This record gives sequence, structure tokens and C-alpha cells, in this order.
Amino acid sequence: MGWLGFALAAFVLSVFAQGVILRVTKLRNGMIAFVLAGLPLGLALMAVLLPAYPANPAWAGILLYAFLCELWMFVFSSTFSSVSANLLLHLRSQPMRRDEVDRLYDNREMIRRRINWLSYIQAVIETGGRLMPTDRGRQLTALFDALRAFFGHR
Amino acid sequence: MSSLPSKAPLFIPAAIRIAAIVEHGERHATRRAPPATETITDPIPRQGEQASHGRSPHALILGPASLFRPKSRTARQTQPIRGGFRLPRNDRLCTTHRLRIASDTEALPFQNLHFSEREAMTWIIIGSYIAVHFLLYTLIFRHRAFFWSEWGILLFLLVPAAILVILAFASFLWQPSFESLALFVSAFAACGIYTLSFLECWLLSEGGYSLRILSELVRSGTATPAELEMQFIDMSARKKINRLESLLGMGMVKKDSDRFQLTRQGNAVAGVLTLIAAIAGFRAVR
Repeated sequence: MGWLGFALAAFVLSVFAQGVILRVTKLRNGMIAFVLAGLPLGLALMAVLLPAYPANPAWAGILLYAFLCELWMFVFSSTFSSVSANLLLHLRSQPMRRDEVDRLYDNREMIRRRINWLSYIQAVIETGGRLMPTDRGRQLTALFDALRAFFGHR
Repeated sequence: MSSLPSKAPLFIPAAIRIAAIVEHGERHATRRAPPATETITDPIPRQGEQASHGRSPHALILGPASLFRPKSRTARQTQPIRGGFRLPRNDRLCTTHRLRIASDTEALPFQNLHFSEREAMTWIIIGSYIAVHFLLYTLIFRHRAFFWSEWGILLFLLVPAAILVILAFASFLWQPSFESLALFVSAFAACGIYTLSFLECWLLSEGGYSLRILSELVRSGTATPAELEMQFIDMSARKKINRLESLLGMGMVKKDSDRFQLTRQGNAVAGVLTLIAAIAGFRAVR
């Protein structure tokens, strides 16, 4: 049962380390912070489990750790970026009228934030007041289009 | 058939060899390789003992190996390899057996990376499930309109995964052991990784807001921020209304006179989200 304890402990430590990285450093990207914390811990977990346990429990522990990490990334990235989740958090602090919701999620402001994000990840570049896609942006779009075509989204 | 007569004489030393193992398996194993046999705890002696009762499958496993051995060698001269017998490469059963003996007896790092038959079968089932599920989606279900919706894809992913996990759990309950628990956890985690990855790809392809803006920019080549704002302002407003309506529809938000407020269910979800945000140490964005 030690393998189970090791896997769960490594996951809890990764989440804790992510929180520390985001609070202590200037890094604001939760995903990168978690990868920075989770990757070394995952390697350490492999180094502990593989030599010490038979194949079956060793890989069970590693897979469990990988699954928990993916689940955590999915959950916190949804919380971080979802409008619905964000609205729930705001409504938790106080009930809001329709015009307050509209002000909170100003349409132009929402678009501006997305453009800033695209500039930040170097998918677009602003030249002379005009936005242009970079090679990275084109690659992202190609991947996006391929996924859309595969999953049949209209 | 024509090879049988020519091989027939070889069965004689084979029979002798089997008889030697049946009668003296344990003793021979001890004599053959003193340093290695000191570390041999279970496999060979037990096989010898079982064989003496005429029930050991290992005597039969070792038998054919001697067919390929030089005639001058006897069972006593057989050299040990990591506590096992020196066996021909083309004898797969023996090779597997030899690896097992080596792994059971020596404490080399990473030497125990082999799976039992049951474990291998479990991994074959999990691998087959993932392959068949993905193929079915690729060939059939992605062309059906029902599976373009969030509910459709959720059902398609969660129902078979839940069935597989329940079967794995039932297998664990049938033979409760640490090995079964590890197999159940492996099956659960592997299904979870596949299902989550599939769902993430599906959600990504459905189109985040940023990706739609980027896609439009690539299509048009260039645009000013103001042009993009004009183009996406309707979509932004629609998205906001959709989110609010979907929260109302799910019973997480209710409208009390002119104000929106959380229901008990919504409060619970918001509490979990607050906890996640607090643990992860990030600030939510709008």
C-alpha cells in the first residue's frame, strides 16, 4: 500500500508547491507553475516506486499520480478561465443585478483581454496599430482547425 | 512429419533430463551454481518438489530446452544464469521463466519490470478498450449530430469508462488482494487519463474565445483591435447571456426580483471553486 501513499503524497505536494510558486514568484501562469512543481515530483515518484516495488503496483502509483495531475490541471484551468465559474465566484460574494453583470463582463473589455493574452503568448504581434498573426499563431490555428474538423464542430 | 524420425533420438536425452529434474531437481539446482542458488529461494526447488509428484509444468518447460543443448552436456553441467538455467534463445517459455527467476532472486534496480499473466491481460483489456473506443468515435459516432453536443460527448466518454471501472472494481472484490487493488487503480487511472485527454481536446476544438479571435485574424491576415472588437462584440454578449442562462438552467443561480443570486447548489459549487482558487493561489480572470 506504500505505492498508493507515495502517489497521493506526491500529488498533494505538487499542488502545494504550485501554490507556493504562484504566491512567492512573479509567475502568474498556473499551468506552468504546476508543471514546474509536478514534473520533478513525478520523476522522483518514478525513481522511488520503480526500483522498490513490483511492476504492477509501481505503475499503478505512477498512473494514479498522472491522472490526478491531469484532473487537477483540468479543474483549475476551468476555474481560472471559465466565465461561468468566475460568475459563480462573484455571485458568491454578493447578488448582482443584470446591469452589474454587464459591467463586470464588459464585452469590449473581454475582447481586449483576449487580444492581450494572444500577444502575451506571441500568437499575434502588433505593428503600426494593426494586429498580425505570427507563425506560432498560424500553427495554433491549424491545430485548432484540425481538431474542429475531426470532432465535427460547426 | 518428415522431421519427426530425425528428431526422435533427441527425445531420449530430453526424457533423461526431465527424469533428472523430476527426481533430483532441488538437489541439482543447489549443486549446479552455489553462488546463484544461494539466492534462489522459491522457484527452482519448488518446481523440483512438485515435479517429483508428477505435477510440475516446469519439468515439461525445461524438457524441450535440452533438445537444443549439445549432447555432451548433462543436467548437472547445465550452467546457471542469474539463478536459472542456460536455455536456448528460441525457447520463449524458458526465457520468460528465466527472467522471472532472475527477478525474484536478485535485488537489481528496475529488474522487476515484468507483468504476470493476469496483469498482462488487464493491460490488454484496457488498451483494447481505448483503441476500440477511439476507433468507434472516429469511424461512426463523430458523424452523428447527437455527439456534437456536450451531453452527447460526456455520455459517450463516461458510460463505457464507468462500466470498465466497475468491472475492474468487481474483479478486485472477487479476489481482494494488493495485486488486485493495484490493477484496479491502474485501470481507473488509465481510463481517467484517456477520458480526460479526449474531453480536453474536444473542449479545445469547440473553440475558446481567444482561439476564435486568433482564427479570424489568421483568416483575414490583419486587423486593428477596434475592428476585432466590432466583429466579436455580439459573440461576447451572446456568450455572457448563454453562461448566465445555463447557470439558471442548471439551478445554480436564481433570479430574485431583479437580482441574480446563488442557490444552495450554486453556493456549494462556488465554495469548491473558491477552495481550488485558494489552494492553487491564483486570481480568477474575467
